[in-house]
Amino acid sequence: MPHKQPEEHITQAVSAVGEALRLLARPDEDALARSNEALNGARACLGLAAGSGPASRAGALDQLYRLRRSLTTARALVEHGEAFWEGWARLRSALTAGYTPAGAPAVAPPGGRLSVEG
Amino acid sequence: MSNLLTSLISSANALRVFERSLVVSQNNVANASTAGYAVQRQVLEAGPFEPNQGLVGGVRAGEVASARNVYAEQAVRRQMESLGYFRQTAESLTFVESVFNVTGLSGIPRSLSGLFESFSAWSLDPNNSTARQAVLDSAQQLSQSFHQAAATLEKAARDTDRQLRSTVNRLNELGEALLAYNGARRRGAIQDAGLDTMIHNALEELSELVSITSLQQDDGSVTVLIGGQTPLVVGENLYRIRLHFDMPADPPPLYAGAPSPATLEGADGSNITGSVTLGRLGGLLELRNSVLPSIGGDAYRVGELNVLARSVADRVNQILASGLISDGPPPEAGAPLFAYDSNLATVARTITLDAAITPGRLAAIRPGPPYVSNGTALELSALASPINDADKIDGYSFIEYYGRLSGRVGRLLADARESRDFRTEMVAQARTLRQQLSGVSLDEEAIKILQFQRAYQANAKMVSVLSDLTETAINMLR
Repeated sequence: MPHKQPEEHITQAVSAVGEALRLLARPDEDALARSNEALNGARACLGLAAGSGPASRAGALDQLYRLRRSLTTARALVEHGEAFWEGWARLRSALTAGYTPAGAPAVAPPGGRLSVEG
Repeated sequence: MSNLLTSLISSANALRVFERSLVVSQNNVANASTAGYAVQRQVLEAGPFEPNQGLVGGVRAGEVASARNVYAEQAVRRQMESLGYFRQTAESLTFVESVFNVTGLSGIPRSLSGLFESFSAWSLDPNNSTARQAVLDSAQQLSQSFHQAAATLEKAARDTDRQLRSTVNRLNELGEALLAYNGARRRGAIQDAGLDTMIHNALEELSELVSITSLQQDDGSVTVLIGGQTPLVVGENLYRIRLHFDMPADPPPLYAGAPSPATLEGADGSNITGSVTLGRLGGLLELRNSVLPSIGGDAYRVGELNVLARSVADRVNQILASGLISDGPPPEAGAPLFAYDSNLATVARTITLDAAITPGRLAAIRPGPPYVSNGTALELSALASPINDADKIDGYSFIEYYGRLSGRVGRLLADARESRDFRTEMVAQARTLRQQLSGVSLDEEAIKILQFQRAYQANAKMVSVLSDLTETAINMLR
């Protein structure tokens, strides 16, 4: 079986990050886990590209720039998702338990309220 | 007997509460696919249990609190504001870009090259009437290219004005709708899930148009502020936003007859244009008051297209005026090739061939010393690759200057498209996050938040590693 060219590995990395972007844009727990797998796959592809000899400069650079753009989007999606949950955790703590004397959201005590969800 | 009665009362209350919970659940199921609908939760509260004081304990219904979280709604709206801005910018610039061809095969760059080629051909045979006519034809072609570009920019400005009007109208319409919803809520429909859905849909549409802050008041009404400071809806009062294109008195216009800027006013007459930077309205205002005038000029700016048209016309006329049509006797001085209106912000629209110019009145002779029979024609043909600063604009040849202008339009469009695609993904993500927050139970929530935070941290590390690897690879190949 012939060895793949470095450009092919980079193209695979681009596809893997594209898949991660798709999953990060609709993140439930499962999608988040799979996006991590996809990013890990992209990392492996880049590792293979580095070990598979010299790359055609123009083609590889073009794909790497694409990869960089996708990673910028991925970073923004991850940061936004992380900030969303962090913000909500703080807000929820403040709404349910108020603030500590230092001004930080307090941790809510175990609830004495029953909630039914439809 | 008393204890039995107490138990019965407690049980009856509990039954009513659970019955109500069931209604809430049914409503949630029925609206599962309704756009913008948020899951409703029936909060059950433990009643105080003090039998000796007649407090029977059990559960009672609290208010039907909307699980829709203001926080999650705002996360979506923040992304919508940016998406609206870049969507609008990308749509509007697509039309503008069509006239700024960077290939050089049409429009102004083709006409400029054509004029320089005609000067070159004329310099080879300065008395050839066909070559002289070709110069006039090329100059005419260049004028038309400038007219076409200016007309496209004017059409873009008119389209933008029309869209600004319709956007402001829609914004006021949504304000009216929210006003009606506020009235309904104040009249008791505070727990109406359908009304809640309509309010949030209206707010989401509004956020695509303009940056808003919404606050829910104790009476259930929604207060909406534009740009965080200008009221649009407060309780049952609507503060209409107004758009006008009147020329401001201060600062006074520098170029009469050129387009005036678009101005947004709050209901109190204050100028709020500067505070509207996001949403479709922000994109339209940026295009109308900044991008288009920087190219085509307005009452305060000449505009790069006019700078180019004027610089080409002035330099060509200057070179021709320094030459001679014939060396006489008496020697006949050169005549201008181009003419334009004195308003510097409309040169591209008004540039034309000078009324007195004819092929025979093109001055080819440089009187010198040294005397050169085709001197001015040679000097004109050198404008294609200039050496002297007098033949350049800000250090760029005329063709390079145009290239920078069209390149800037192209970059603005490419950036807007990329940002639009990026924001589309961010909106999709924010909507999913909102959905997850709306659907999760309070008990599960604390655990879920932790799970999500950890998953994002893991992804953040992976993205960071990948970015480092990519940068290393790029640096190796560059």
